[in-house]
Amino acid sequence: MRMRPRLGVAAAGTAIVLAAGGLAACSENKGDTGTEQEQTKQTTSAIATDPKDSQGPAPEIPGAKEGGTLRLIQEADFEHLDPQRTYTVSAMAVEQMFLRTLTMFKEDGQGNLLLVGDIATDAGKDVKGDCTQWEYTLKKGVKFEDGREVTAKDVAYGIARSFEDDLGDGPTYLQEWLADTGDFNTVYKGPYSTGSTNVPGLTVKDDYTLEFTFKQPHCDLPFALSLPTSVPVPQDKDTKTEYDRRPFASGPYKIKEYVKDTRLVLERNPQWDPKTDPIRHAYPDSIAVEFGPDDAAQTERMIADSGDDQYAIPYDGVPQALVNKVLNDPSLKDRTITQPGIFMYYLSINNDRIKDVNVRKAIAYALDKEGILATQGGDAAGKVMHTLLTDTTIGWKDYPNPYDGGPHGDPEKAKQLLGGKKVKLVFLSRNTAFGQSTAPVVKESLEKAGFEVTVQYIEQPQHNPTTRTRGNPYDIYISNWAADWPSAASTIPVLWDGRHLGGPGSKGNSDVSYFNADDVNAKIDEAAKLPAGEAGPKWAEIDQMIMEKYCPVVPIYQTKVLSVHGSKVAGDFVSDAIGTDVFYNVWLK
Amino acid sequence: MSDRDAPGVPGVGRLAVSPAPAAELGEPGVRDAGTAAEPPEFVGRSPGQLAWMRLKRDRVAVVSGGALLFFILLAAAAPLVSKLYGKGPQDRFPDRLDRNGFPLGYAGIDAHHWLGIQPGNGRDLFIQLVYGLRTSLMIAFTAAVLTIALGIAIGIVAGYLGGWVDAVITWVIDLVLAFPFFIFCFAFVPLAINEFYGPRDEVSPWFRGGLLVLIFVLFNWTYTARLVRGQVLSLREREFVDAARASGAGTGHILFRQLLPNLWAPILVTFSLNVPALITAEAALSFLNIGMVEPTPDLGRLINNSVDYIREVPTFTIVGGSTLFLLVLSFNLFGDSLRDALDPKSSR
Repeated sequence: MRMRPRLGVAAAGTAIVLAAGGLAACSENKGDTGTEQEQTKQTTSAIATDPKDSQGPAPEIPGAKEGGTLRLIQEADFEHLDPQRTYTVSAMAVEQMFLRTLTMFKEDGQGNLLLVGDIATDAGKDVKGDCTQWEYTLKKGVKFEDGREVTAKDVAYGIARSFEDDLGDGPTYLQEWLADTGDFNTVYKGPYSTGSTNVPGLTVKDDYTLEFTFKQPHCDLPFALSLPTSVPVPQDKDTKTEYDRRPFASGPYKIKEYVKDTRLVLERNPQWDPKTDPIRHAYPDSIAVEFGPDDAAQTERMIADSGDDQYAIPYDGVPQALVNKVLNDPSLKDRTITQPGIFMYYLSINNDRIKDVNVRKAIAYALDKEGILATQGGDAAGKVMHTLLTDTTIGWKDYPNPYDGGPHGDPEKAKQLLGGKKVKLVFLSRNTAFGQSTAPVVKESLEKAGFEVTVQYIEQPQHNPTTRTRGNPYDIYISNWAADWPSAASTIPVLWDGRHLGGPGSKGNSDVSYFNADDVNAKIDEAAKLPAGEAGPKWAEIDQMIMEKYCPVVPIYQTKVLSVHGSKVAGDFVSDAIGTDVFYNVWLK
Repeated sequence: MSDRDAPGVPGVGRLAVSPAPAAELGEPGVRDAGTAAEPPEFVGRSPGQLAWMRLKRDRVAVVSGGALLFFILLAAAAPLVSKLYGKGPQDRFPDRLDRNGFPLGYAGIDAHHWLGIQPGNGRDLFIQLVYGLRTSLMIAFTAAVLTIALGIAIGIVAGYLGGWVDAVITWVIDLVLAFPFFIFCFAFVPLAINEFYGPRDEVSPWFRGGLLVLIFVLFNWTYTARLVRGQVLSLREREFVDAARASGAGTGHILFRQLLPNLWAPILVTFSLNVPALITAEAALSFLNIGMVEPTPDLGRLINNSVDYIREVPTFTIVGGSTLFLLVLSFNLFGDSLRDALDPKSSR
């Protein structure tokens, strides 16, 4: 019989399937791939008291040499490069290389952080000793890229423009503290709107002295000033919203070329004087950022390690699907970074709706945290947590899990707490890969304990605005948070001080569990009055108290950073302060 | 199209000229033994019987039809399979994953998990596949049947009546064809769900599935309608139609008793192409997160999830991909064979 074309197709089709099956290379997974032994890195951090710590130059790194082009790869362009509008850690890391702040964290990559003065001669002087008045003295010889000296006026102008509504994308700590209200625009609207550069509470005493006066004590001011809000901006160079394209450099590099969504190229700034800088080395001659390739493409390029990619650091980390590939390859071992990240994921329980503490405790017992983490890459993506603070926070102290249901939850214990009640929960989940993979685990593990769980999917951009609206109709949702500096003062008062909450219908609440307890608030006030260096243990106590007594949220996991860089890159590490790669120690082999 | 042998024409029913016992027993040897003395007997066969005979003789049709039947039975019997297999589609097996969420052993395949374990959430792949097939086939089949039915009805009416009816229908078809499918889905699906469900109500997977069927029908009937209209235009001037009209047959009789039987071949081809196209379209919608959502198992989403793992857990991608591939291939081959078998002019 003639071989009919149809028969040919059928035969070929079957053959393809069989061949594909054969190609599925058989290699046994024995389950011994993992990141290094759980090192719970105790972060030690302090504010420098010795002014010598704030003096330059940064000590030489043994073996380091100058030259070459450092390449960074990131999928999406930075939201902003305008320092007062910057709130993403990747942008902060790159801005460190061409912009300077009043204070800055000096890190060794081993978990030791020291807050030192960057433009300032030290980390700040608490004039009265009660955290209401702070004085900063600027170093002499810190220059902008056109050679003029950075003065207190430029720093104050930078802070002034952060009040502008048009530039309101950055952190708002400083503005709120100076204006003494969350609605800081009602006190001062910024230099464009008012024509005045006089910020309430901020005094330029002379060219080198700046004074902050607050109505309330703010002991974390030295930390808050390490955010890019304190970057100096010369008033005559301010191009308002256009400043995003070409910030005026004060660090070791300046912008040579910036093509939005394509590339950013930095070249040396000859005006930068290493003797004024306690932290930055500037070993590479230039830094080139490439935008476009996604995390999988970045990782593949690092594995291939050819050409310019040998000098590259990818920003976006290793995707879950490539985790075992990276960890199983011994040749990648010495250029792989695994470190605890600063993000934490927690299941927010809407306390306005779930008022019964036993129901909240039952959720904590029943939730399969390991199962949720496994969908995101398991051990390589993070580690399960039960404290409200991440272990990168100053003063963090572990305590026994008050609701220990084992790695996959304890439905029996949860049933006991519910006492036969049938509780209906509506779970709001993001309609993304993250949401669609975690929601079934949340649903299944809670339903085993006798809850009735309805999953509602919502598009990613609407997720946070919805959960941050008080009176939203949902019972549980997964939230995430990264502290803006490694002190609990940028976590606990923000997320669990119910006095900040607006009334029903109010938007933009950070306390998305709508938790409010008077005894916790009182403790928060006590801790906030302590000097930042001593407050750590106090915050850890509050962490334990909130969880044991109220259980307003269920902490799920703290992220881990896993990334691979090119073989010719040295000195790269992940910062504990901002949780992403920082480049001031990088040199190229 | 054949005109002389048109099966719908009264009295022109095709006579099969072949010795009956031989054809029935299908063994050439029998004829000499049993019927040598008898004069060859002519047996009348209906077109359906003829088509069935041709189909049985076509080996590709038998194999692809068998595969199709297997897939359909597997999908239809999903709850039964789940019971016998001892696992449901929502069951997770976290013990079978390593610390990074990858299946242990050889992709997790063992006596309890025939096709292995899904990385990440640790579900059993076989039962996911069975239930995923059920979702995909159910949506694609329902949508294809309704698409064809609507397309035929509108196509016949337009082609036969002509005039302003035809003009209006053609205009509507052009309008529908110009409508952007994905943008419509993005706008329509959430809107429809919000219309029927409050923020705290569980959206039934049947509602979502029904919504998808509705969208597919709305967008796909035009192709069948245009095809049928063209065929009807060429058929309506034929003698057998004139004859029927002259004998006083009504429009309904002419449309559905005279014209329709002549259209089955192209319609079947469209159908056999429609089902796999709809399976892939449904997969694409799931890919864009507007199709079926977790926890309803879905073949398209399963494949979409597996693509990232092609290097580390290749069986995951291959199992899902091969199933879809074989399903679509069987449909196409079987449809092709069926068309040949139904075609009165076919030599086979």
